[in-house]
Amino acid sequence: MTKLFLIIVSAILINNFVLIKFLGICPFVGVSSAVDASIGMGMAVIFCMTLASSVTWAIQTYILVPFHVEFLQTIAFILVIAALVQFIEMVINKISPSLKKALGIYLPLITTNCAVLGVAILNIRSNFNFLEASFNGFGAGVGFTLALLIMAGIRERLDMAPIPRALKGVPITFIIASLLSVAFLGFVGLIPE
Amino acid sequence: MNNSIMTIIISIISLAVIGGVSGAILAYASAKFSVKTDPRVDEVLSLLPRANCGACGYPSCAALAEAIVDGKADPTACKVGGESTAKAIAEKIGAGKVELKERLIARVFCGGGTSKSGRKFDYSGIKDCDAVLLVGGGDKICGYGCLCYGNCVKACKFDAMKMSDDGLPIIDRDKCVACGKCIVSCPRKIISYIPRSARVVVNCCTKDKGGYVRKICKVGCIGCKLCEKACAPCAITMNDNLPVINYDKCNACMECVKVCPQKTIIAI
Repeated sequence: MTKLFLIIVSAILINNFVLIKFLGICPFVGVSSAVDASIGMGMAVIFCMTLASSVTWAIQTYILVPFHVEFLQTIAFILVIAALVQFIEMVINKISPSLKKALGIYLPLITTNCAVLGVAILNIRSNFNFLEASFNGFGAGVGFTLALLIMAGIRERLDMAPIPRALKGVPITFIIASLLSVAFLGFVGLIPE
Repeated sequence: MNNSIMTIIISIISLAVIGGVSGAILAYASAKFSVKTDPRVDEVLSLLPRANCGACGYPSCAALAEAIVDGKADPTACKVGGESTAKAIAEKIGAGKVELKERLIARVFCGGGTSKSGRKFDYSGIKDCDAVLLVGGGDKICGYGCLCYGNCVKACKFDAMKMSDDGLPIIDRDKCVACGKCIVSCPRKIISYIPRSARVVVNCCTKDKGGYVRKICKVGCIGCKLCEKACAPCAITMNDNLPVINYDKCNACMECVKVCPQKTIIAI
Protein backbone atom coordinates (compact mmCIF):
# COMPACT_ATOMS: atom_id res chain seq x y z
CA MET A 1 0.00 0.00 0.00
CA THR A 2 2.76 2.39 1.03
CA LYS A 3 4.63 1.53 -2.11
CA LEU A 4 1.63 2.36 -4.31
CA PHE A 5 1.22 5.69 -2.56
CA LEU A 6 4.89 6.46 -2.99
CA ILE A 7 4.68 5.54 -6.68
CA ILE A 8 1.84 8.02 -7.20
CA VAL A 9 3.53 10.86 -5.29
CA SER A 10 6.74 10.16 -7.09
CA ALA A 11 5.07 10.20 -10.52
CA ILE A 12 3.21 13.43 -9.77
CA LEU A 13 5.88 15.53 -8.10
CA ILE A 14 9.35 14.05 -8.02
CA ASN A 15 9.47 12.48 -11.47
CA ASN A 16 6.94 14.78 -13.09
CA PHE A 17 6.78 13.68 -16.71
CA VAL A 18 6.79 17.12 -18.23
CA LEU A 19 8.94 19.15 -15.90
CA ILE A 20 11.54 16.60 -14.81
CA LYS A 21 11.57 13.95 -17.52
CA PHE A 22 10.79 16.40 -20.36
CA LEU A 23 8.27 14.13 -22.05
CA GLY A 24 5.13 15.41 -23.73
CA ILE A 25 6.45 18.94 -24.23
CA CYS A 26 4.40 19.36 -27.40
CA PRO A 27 0.94 19.30 -25.77
CA PHE A 28 2.41 21.08 -22.75
CA VAL A 29 3.17 24.10 -24.91
CA GLY A 30 0.37 23.62 -27.40
CA VAL A 31 -2.67 23.10 -25.20
CA SER A 32 -1.71 25.27 -22.24
CA SER A 33 -3.08 28.58 -23.49
CA ALA A 34 -6.41 28.27 -21.64
CA VAL A 35 -7.35 26.57 -18.37
CA ASP A 36 -10.49 24.93 -19.83
CA ALA A 37 -8.63 23.23 -22.64
CA SER A 38 -5.82 22.12 -20.35
CA ILE A 39 -8.28 20.44 -17.97
CA GLY A 40 -9.83 18.56 -20.91
CA MET A 41 -6.44 17.53 -22.18
CA GLY A 42 -5.29 16.54 -18.68
CA MET A 43 -8.29 14.30 -18.12
CA ALA A 44 -7.74 12.62 -21.50
CA VAL A 45 -4.08 12.03 -20.63
CA ILE A 46 -4.86 10.58 -17.18
CA PHE A 47 -7.40 8.26 -18.76
CA CYS A 48 -5.09 7.23 -21.55
CA MET A 49 -1.96 6.72 -19.43
CA THR A 50 -3.74 4.58 -16.85
CA LEU A 51 -5.21 2.26 -19.45
CA ALA A 52 -2.08 2.22 -21.60
CA SER A 53 0.06 1.29 -18.59
CA SER A 54 -2.12 -1.69 -17.76
CA VAL A 55 -2.47 -2.96 -21.32
CA THR A 56 1.17 -2.53 -22.30
CA TRP A 57 2.24 -4.26 -19.09
CA ALA A 58 0.10 -7.24 -20.11
CA ILE A 59 1.51 -7.20 -23.65
CA GLN A 60 5.07 -7.14 -22.33
CA THR A 61 4.55 -9.85 -19.73
CA TYR A 62 2.42 -12.28 -21.70
CA ILE A 63 3.61 -11.83 -25.28
CA LEU A 64 6.97 -10.11 -25.64
CA VAL A 65 8.85 -11.78 -22.76
CA PRO A 66 7.70 -15.40 -23.25
CA PHE A 67 8.59 -15.26 -26.96
CA HIS A 68 11.90 -13.43 -26.33
CA VAL A 69 11.01 -10.57 -28.67
CA GLU A 70 11.48 -7.68 -26.20
CA PHE A 71 13.12 -5.62 -28.96
CA LEU A 72 9.65 -5.18 -30.46
CA GLN A 73 8.62 -3.21 -27.38
CA THR A 74 8.40 0.24 -28.99
CA ILE A 75 6.45 -0.72 -32.09
CA ALA A 76 4.16 -3.11 -30.22
CA PHE A 77 3.38 -0.49 -27.57
CA ILE A 78 2.65 2.24 -30.10
CA LEU A 79 0.39 -0.12 -32.02
CA VAL A 80 -1.50 -1.15 -28.92
CA ILE A 81 -1.82 2.37 -27.49
CA ALA A 82 -3.09 3.78 -30.79
CA ALA A 83 -5.65 0.99 -31.14
CA LEU A 84 -6.67 1.38 -27.50
CA VAL A 85 -7.27 5.14 -27.77
CA GLN A 86 -9.22 4.62 -30.97
CA PHE A 87 -11.34 2.01 -29.23
CA ILE A 88 -11.95 4.21 -26.19
CA GLU A 89 -12.99 7.06 -28.45
CA MET A 90 -15.60 4.89 -30.14
CA VAL A 91 -16.97 3.66 -26.83
CA ILE A 92 -17.12 7.18 -25.37
CA ASN A 93 -18.81 8.42 -28.53
CA LYS A 94 -21.53 5.82 -28.03
CA ILE A 95 -22.13 5.93 -24.30
CA SER A 96 -21.50 9.56 -23.38
CA PRO A 97 -21.72 12.37 -25.95
CA SER A 98 -20.96 14.94 -23.25
CA LEU A 99 -17.71 13.20 -22.27
CA LYS A 100 -16.93 12.91 -25.96
CA LYS A 101 -17.37 16.65 -26.31
CA ALA A 102 -15.03 17.28 -23.38
CA LEU A 103 -12.28 14.82 -24.34
CA GLY A 104 -13.03 14.25 -28.02
CA ILE A 105 -10.55 16.53 -29.71
CA TYR A 106 -7.77 15.71 -27.26
CA LEU A 107 -7.85 11.92 -27.47
CA PRO A 108 -6.47 11.60 -31.02
CA LEU A 109 -3.75 14.09 -30.09
CA ILE A 110 -2.28 11.79 -27.48
CA THR A 111 -2.42 8.46 -29.29
CA THR A 112 1.21 8.64 -30.24
CA ASN A 113 2.32 11.02 -27.54
CA CYS A 114 5.79 10.35 -26.19
CA ALA A 115 4.65 10.78 -22.58
CA VAL A 116 2.13 7.96 -22.95
CA LEU A 117 4.69 5.71 -24.61
CA GLY A 118 7.27 6.87 -22.07
CA VAL A 119 5.22 5.82 -19.07
CA ALA A 120 4.61 2.40 -20.64
CA ILE A 121 8.32 1.80 -21.25
CA LEU A 122 9.39 3.17 -17.85
CA ASN A 123 6.93 0.82 -16.16
CA ILE A 124 8.71 -2.13 -17.71
CA ARG A 125 12.19 -0.76 -16.91
CA SER A 126 11.22 -0.27 -13.26
CA ASN A 127 10.07 -3.91 -13.03
CA PHE A 128 6.63 -2.88 -11.75
CA ASN A 129 3.90 -5.44 -11.31
CA PHE A 130 0.48 -4.93 -12.89
CA LEU A 131 -1.01 -2.84 -10.08
CA GLU A 132 2.12 -0.73 -9.66
CA ALA A 133 2.24 -0.08 -13.39
CA SER A 134 -1.38 1.09 -13.46
CA PHE A 135 -0.84 3.38 -10.47
CA ASN A 136 2.31 4.79 -12.01
CA GLY A 137 0.37 5.48 -15.21
CA PHE A 138 -2.35 7.24 -13.24
CA GLY A 139 0.18 9.28 -11.24
CA ALA A 140 2.05 10.26 -14.39
CA GLY A 141 -1.21 11.45 -15.90
CA VAL A 142 -2.06 13.52 -12.82
CA GLY A 143 1.46 14.97 -12.84
CA PHE A 144 1.05 15.94 -16.50
CA THR A 145 -2.31 17.56 -15.74
CA LEU A 146 -0.81 19.44 -12.80
CA ALA A 147 2.01 20.82 -14.94
CA LEU A 148 -0.42 21.72 -17.72
CA LEU A 149 -2.81 23.47 -15.33
CA ILE A 150 -0.07 25.52 -13.66
CA MET A 151 1.21 26.51 -17.08
CA ALA A 152 -2.25 27.43 -18.38
CA GLY A 153 -2.92 29.55 -15.28
CA ILE A 154 0.34 31.42 -15.75
CA ARG A 155 -0.22 31.90 -19.47
CA GLU A 156 -3.70 33.32 -18.96
CA ARG A 157 -2.13 35.96 -16.73
CA LEU A 158 0.70 36.50 -19.19
CA ASP A 159 -1.83 37.66 -21.78
CA MET A 160 -2.29 40.79 -19.68
CA ALA A 161 1.38 41.31 -18.88
CA PRO A 162 3.68 43.68 -20.76
CA ILE A 163 6.12 41.25 -22.36
CA PRO A 164 8.95 42.46 -24.60
CA ARG A 165 8.03 41.82 -28.21
CA ALA A 166 10.93 39.45 -28.81
CA LEU A 167 9.74 37.15 -26.03
CA LYS A 168 6.02 37.13 -26.85
CA GLY A 169 4.32 33.77 -27.38
CA VAL A 170 6.42 30.62 -27.33
CA PRO A 171 9.75 32.09 -26.08
CA ILE A 172 8.30 33.35 -22.80
CA THR A 173 6.47 30.02 -22.47
CA PHE A 174 9.74 28.13 -22.66
CA ILE A 175 11.34 30.42 -20.10
CA ILE A 176 8.44 29.82 -17.74
CA ALA A 177 8.58 26.09 -18.38
CA SER A 178 12.26 26.07 -17.42
CA LEU A 179 11.58 28.04 -14.23
CA LEU A 180 8.76 25.64 -13.36
CA SER A 181 11.11 22.76 -13.98
CA VAL A 182 13.69 24.24 -11.63
CA ALA A 183 10.96 24.73 -9.02
CA PHE A 184 9.91 21.09 -9.33
CA LEU A 185 13.54 20.03 -8.76
CA GLY A 186 12.87 21.08 -5.17
CA PHE A 187 10.78 17.94 -4.73
CA VAL A 188 13.78 15.70 -5.36
CA GLY A 189 14.68 14.05 -2.06
CA LEU A 190 11.10 14.21 -0.78
CA ILE A 191 11.12 10.43 -0.53
CA PRO A 192 14.31 9.08 1.08
CA GLU A 193 15.83 6.23 -0.91
CA MET B 1 21.44 -19.00 -38.24
CA ASN B 2 18.45 -21.15 -37.57
CA ASN B 3 17.91 -19.27 -34.33
CA SER B 4 17.78 -15.83 -35.92
CA ILE B 5 15.30 -17.00 -38.55
CA MET B 6 13.13 -18.29 -35.74
CA THR B 7 13.35 -14.89 -34.04
CA ILE B 8 12.28 -13.15 -37.23
CA ILE B 9 9.34 -15.48 -37.70
CA ILE B 10 8.26 -15.11 -34.08
CA SER B 11 8.47 -11.30 -34.31
CA ILE B 12 6.39 -11.25 -37.46
CA ILE B 13 3.80 -13.58 -36.01
CA SER B 14 3.53 -11.83 -32.63
CA LEU B 15 3.22 -8.35 -34.20
CA ALA B 16 0.74 -9.66 -36.74
CA VAL B 17 -1.31 -11.19 -33.95
CA ILE B 18 -1.27 -7.99 -31.86
CA GLY B 19 -2.13 -5.89 -34.91
CA GLY B 20 -4.74 -8.34 -36.15
CA VAL B 21 -6.46 -8.61 -32.78
CA SER B 22 -6.53 -4.80 -32.29
CA GLY B 23 -7.77 -4.38 -35.83
CA ALA B 24 -10.51 -6.90 -35.32
CA ILE B 25 -11.58 -5.27 -32.04
CA LEU B 26 -11.66 -1.86 -33.74
CA ALA B 27 -13.64 -3.17 -36.68
CA TYR B 28 -16.11 -4.79 -34.33
CA ALA B 29 -16.30 -1.65 -32.17
CA SER B 30 -16.89 0.67 -35.12
CA ALA B 31 -19.89 -1.43 -36.10
CA LYS B 32 -21.13 -2.03 -32.56
CA PHE B 33 -20.65 1.50 -31.28
CA SER B 34 -21.57 3.41 -34.42
CA VAL B 35 -23.56 6.53 -33.68
CA LYS B 36 -26.32 7.50 -36.06
CA THR B 37 -26.03 11.13 -37.10
CA ASP B 38 -28.80 12.97 -38.87
CA PRO B 39 -27.73 13.44 -42.52
CA ARG B 40 -29.69 16.70 -42.55
CA VAL B 41 -27.09 18.27 -40.22
CA ASP B 42 -24.45 18.05 -42.93
CA GLU B 43 -26.89 19.28 -45.56
CA VAL B 44 -27.91 22.29 -43.47
CA LEU B 45 -24.25 22.95 -42.72
CA SER B 46 -23.48 23.01 -46.44
CA LEU B 47 -26.11 25.74 -46.86
CA LEU B 48 -24.68 27.94 -44.09
CA PRO B 49 -21.89 30.42 -44.87
CA ARG B 50 -19.42 28.45 -42.69
CA ALA B 51 -17.65 31.62 -41.60
CA ASN B 52 -17.99 30.48 -37.96
CA CYS B 53 -18.52 34.11 -36.96
CA GLY B 54 -20.72 33.30 -33.96
CA ALA B 55 -23.33 35.96 -34.71
CA CYS B 56 -26.14 33.44 -34.18
CA GLY B 57 -24.99 32.72 -30.63
CA TYR B 58 -23.60 29.27 -31.42
CA PRO B 59 -19.85 28.68 -31.39
CA SER B 60 -19.70 27.42 -34.98
CA CYS B 61 -21.80 26.93 -38.09
CA ALA B 62 -21.77 23.17 -37.36
CA ALA B 63 -23.30 23.79 -33.92
CA LEU B 64 -26.00 25.98 -35.45
CA ALA B 65 -26.76 23.35 -38.10
CA GLU B 66 -27.24 20.78 -35.35
CA ALA B 67 -29.49 23.16 -33.39
CA ILE B 68 -31.61 23.95 -36.46
CA VAL B 69 -32.13 20.26 -37.24
CA ASP B 70 -32.99 19.59 -33.58
CA GLY B 71 -35.55 22.37 -33.76
CA LYS B 72 -33.73 24.39 -31.10
CA ALA B 73 -32.86 27.20 -33.46
CA ASP B 74 -34.86 28.98 -36.12
CA PRO B 75 -33.92 28.55 -39.80
CA THR B 76 -33.53 32.33 -39.90
CA ALA B 77 -30.98 32.28 -37.05
CA CYS B 78 -28.08 32.89 -39.42
CA LYS B 79 -27.88 36.65 -39.86
CA VAL B 80 -25.04 36.37 -42.32
CA GLY B 81 -26.79 34.13 -44.84
CA GLY B 82 -29.91 36.30 -44.87
CA GLU B 83 -33.04 35.52 -46.81
CA SER B 84 -31.74 33.04 -49.38
CA THR B 85 -30.03 30.87 -46.76
CA ALA B 86 -33.06 30.90 -44.49
CA LYS B 87 -35.34 29.81 -47.32
CA ALA B 88 -33.02 27.04 -48.45
CA ILE B 89 -32.66 25.71 -44.90
CA ALA B 90 -36.40 25.89 -44.23
CA GLU B 91 -36.97 23.89 -47.41
CA LYS B 92 -34.37 21.33 -46.41
CA ILE B 93 -35.83 20.65 -42.98
CA GLY B 94 -39.42 21.10 -44.13
CA ALA B 95 -40.26 24.05 -41.95
CA GLY B 96 -42.38 25.67 -44.65
CA LYS B 97 -42.58 29.44 -44.84
CA VAL B 98 -40.23 31.54 -42.79
CA GLU B 99 -40.84 35.04 -41.59
CA LEU B 100 -37.85 37.22 -42.04
CA LYS B 101 -36.93 39.96 -39.67
CA GLU B 102 -35.80 43.33 -40.96
CA ARG B 103 -32.17 43.15 -41.92
CA LEU B 104 -29.79 45.18 -39.79
CA ILE B 105 -26.50 46.90 -40.33
CA ALA B 106 -23.86 48.00 -37.85
CA ARG B 107 -23.24 51.71 -37.40
CA VAL B 108 -20.50 53.64 -35.61
CA PHE B 109 -22.20 56.45 -33.74
CA CYS B 110 -19.43 59.04 -33.82
CA GLY B 111 -18.46 61.68 -36.36
CA GLY B 112 -15.52 63.11 -34.47
CA GLY B 113 -12.48 62.01 -36.46
CA THR B 114 -9.01 63.39 -35.81
CA SER B 115 -9.78 66.61 -37.69
CA LYS B 116 -13.01 67.30 -35.78
CA SER B 117 -12.30 66.24 -32.22
CA GLY B 118 -9.21 66.97 -30.13
CA ARG B 119 -6.75 64.84 -28.20
CA LYS B 120 -5.66 65.17 -24.60
CA PHE B 121 -2.12 63.91 -25.14
CA ASP B 122 0.16 62.17 -27.62
CA TYR B 123 -0.29 58.46 -27.26
CA SER B 124 2.49 56.30 -28.61
CA GLY B 125 1.67 52.91 -27.09
CA ILE B 126 0.04 49.84 -28.61
CA LYS B 127 -2.40 50.78 -31.37
CA ASP B 128 -5.40 49.20 -29.68
CA CYS B 129 -8.60 50.76 -28.32
CA ASP B 130 -8.55 48.65 -25.14
CA ALA B 131 -4.92 49.55 -24.51
CA VAL B 132 -5.35 53.29 -25.00
CA LEU B 133 -8.36 53.26 -22.71
CA LEU B 134 -6.10 52.12 -19.86
CA VAL B 135 -4.02 55.28 -20.20
CA GLY B 136 -6.00 58.03 -18.52
CA GLY B 137 -9.26 56.89 -20.13
CA GLY B 138 -8.02 57.30 -23.69
CA ASP B 139 -6.25 60.09 -25.51
CA LYS B 140 -9.45 61.57 -26.96
CA ILE B 141 -10.84 64.58 -25.10
CA CYS B 142 -14.39 63.37 -25.72
CA GLY B 143 -15.23 60.72 -23.16
CA TYR B 144 -17.79 59.06 -25.43
CA GLY B 145 -16.40 59.20 -28.94
CA CYS B 146 -14.48 56.81 -31.15
CA LEU B 147 -10.92 56.11 -29.97
CA CYS B 148 -9.82 55.63 -33.58
CA TYR B 149 -7.50 52.65 -33.04
CA GLY B 150 -9.62 50.27 -35.05
CA ASN B 151 -10.46 47.34 -32.78
CA CYS B 152 -13.70 46.97 -34.73
CA VAL B 153 -11.84 46.83 -38.04
CA LYS B 154 -9.63 44.06 -36.67
CA ALA B 155 -12.69 42.21 -35.36
CA CYS B 156 -14.57 42.28 -38.68
CA LYS B 157 -14.29 38.89 -40.37
CA PHE B 158 -16.11 40.01 -43.49
CA ASP B 159 -13.75 42.77 -44.56
CA ALA B 160 -16.63 45.22 -44.24
CA MET B 161 -14.82 47.84 -42.14
CA LYS B 162 -11.90 50.09 -42.78
CA MET B 163 -10.47 53.23 -41.20
CA SER B 164 -11.12 56.48 -43.01
CA ASP B 165 -8.41 59.08 -43.55
CA ASP B 166 -9.94 60.98 -40.65
CA GLY B 167 -9.46 57.98 -38.34
CA LEU B 168 -13.03 56.81 -38.11
CA PRO B 169 -14.18 53.31 -39.00
CA ILE B 170 -16.35 53.14 -42.13
CA ILE B 171 -18.78 50.28 -42.64
CA ASP B 172 -19.30 48.91 -46.13
CA ARG B 173 -23.06 48.51 -46.63
CA ASP B 174 -22.66 45.73 -49.14
CA LYS B 175 -20.31 43.67 -47.00
CA CYS B 176 -21.75 44.17 -43.50
CA VAL B 177 -23.72 41.12 -42.43
CA ALA B 178 -24.64 42.35 -38.93
CA CYS B 179 -22.68 39.61 -37.17
CA GLY B 180 -22.06 41.90 -34.18
CA LYS B 181 -18.32 41.23 -33.81
CA CYS B 182 -17.48 44.94 -34.04
CA ILE B 183 -20.17 45.81 -31.49
CA VAL B 184 -18.57 43.48 -28.97
CA SER B 185 -15.04 44.64 -29.79
CA CYS B 186 -15.73 48.35 -29.16
CA PRO B 187 -14.70 49.32 -25.59
CA ARG B 188 -16.63 52.60 -25.87
CA LYS B 189 -19.81 50.76 -26.94
CA ILE B 190 -20.53 53.26 -29.71
CA ILE B 191 -21.33 50.70 -32.41
CA SER B 192 -24.84 49.29 -32.61
CA TYR B 193 -27.38 48.03 -35.09
CA ILE B 194 -29.72 50.18 -37.13
CA PRO B 195 -32.26 48.92 -39.68
CA ARG B 196 -30.89 48.77 -43.21
CA SER B 197 -33.74 51.01 -44.32
CA ALA B 198 -32.74 53.81 -41.92
CA ARG B 199 -32.02 57.07 -43.78
CA VAL B 200 -30.85 59.36 -40.96
CA VAL B 201 -28.62 58.80 -37.94
CA VAL B 202 -27.63 60.82 -34.92
CA ASN B 203 -23.90 60.52 -35.40
CA CYS B 204 -22.86 61.06 -31.79
CA CYS B 205 -22.90 59.32 -28.42
CA THR B 206 -22.06 62.13 -26.03
CA LYS B 207 -23.99 62.68 -22.83
CA ASP B 208 -22.02 65.83 -21.96
CA LYS B 209 -23.58 69.30 -21.73
CA GLY B 210 -23.84 71.30 -24.96
CA GLY B 211 -21.35 74.04 -24.07
CA TYR B 212 -18.60 71.56 -23.29
CA VAL B 213 -19.29 69.50 -26.41
CA ARG B 214 -19.02 72.62 -28.57
CA LYS B 215 -15.51 73.22 -27.22
CA ILE B 216 -14.16 69.71 -27.82
CA CYS B 217 -15.86 68.51 -31.01
CA LYS B 218 -16.97 70.19 -34.22
CA VAL B 219 -19.73 67.67 -34.91
CA GLY B 220 -20.84 66.67 -31.41
CA CYS B 221 -24.47 66.90 -30.30
CA ILE B 222 -25.09 69.95 -28.11
CA GLY B 223 -28.56 68.84 -27.06
CA CYS B 224 -30.35 71.87 -28.56
CA LYS B 225 -33.54 69.85 -29.23
CA LEU B 226 -34.13 71.58 -32.60
CA CYS B 227 -34.45 68.18 -34.25
CA GLU B 228 -37.04 67.08 -31.73
CA LYS B 229 -39.15 70.14 -32.52
CA ALA B 230 -38.64 69.84 -36.27
CA CYS B 231 -39.65 66.20 -36.46
CA ALA B 232 -43.19 66.07 -37.88
CA PRO B 233 -43.95 62.40 -37.05
CA CYS B 234 -42.48 62.82 -33.51
CA ALA B 235 -39.90 60.10 -34.15
CA ILE B 236 -37.18 61.93 -32.17
CA THR B 237 -37.07 61.98 -28.40
CA MET B 238 -34.36 63.43 -26.20
CA ASN B 239 -32.57 61.07 -23.83
CA ASP B 240 -29.64 62.32 -21.70
CA ASN B 241 -28.98 65.35 -23.94
CA LEU B 242 -28.99 63.15 -27.01
CA PRO B 243 -31.75 62.66 -29.60
CA VAL B 244 -32.91 59.10 -30.18
CA ILE B 245 -34.60 58.25 -33.48
CA ASN B 246 -37.45 55.77 -33.51
CA TYR B 247 -37.06 54.22 -36.96
CA ASP B 248 -40.59 52.78 -36.89
CA LYS B 249 -41.94 56.35 -37.00
CA CYS B 250 -39.27 58.07 -39.09
CA ASN B 251 -40.52 59.04 -42.56
CA ALA B 252 -37.11 60.21 -43.84
CA CYS B 253 -38.28 63.81 -44.40
CA MET B 254 -34.74 65.02 -43.56
CA GLU B 255 -36.03 68.00 -41.55
CA CYS B 256 -33.79 67.04 -38.60
CA VAL B 257 -30.76 66.97 -40.88
CA LYS B 258 -31.58 70.48 -42.12
CA VAL B 259 -32.05 72.04 -38.67
CA CYS B 260 -29.12 70.42 -36.86
CA PRO B 261 -26.63 73.27 -36.17
CA GLN B 262 -23.69 70.95 -35.49
CA LYS B 263 -24.33 68.65 -38.47
CA THR B 264 -24.56 65.81 -35.96
CA ILE B 265 -27.61 64.31 -37.58
CA ILE B 266 -26.66 63.15 -41.06
CA ALA B 267 -28.36 61.48 -43.96
CA ILE B 268 -26.94 58.11 -44.97
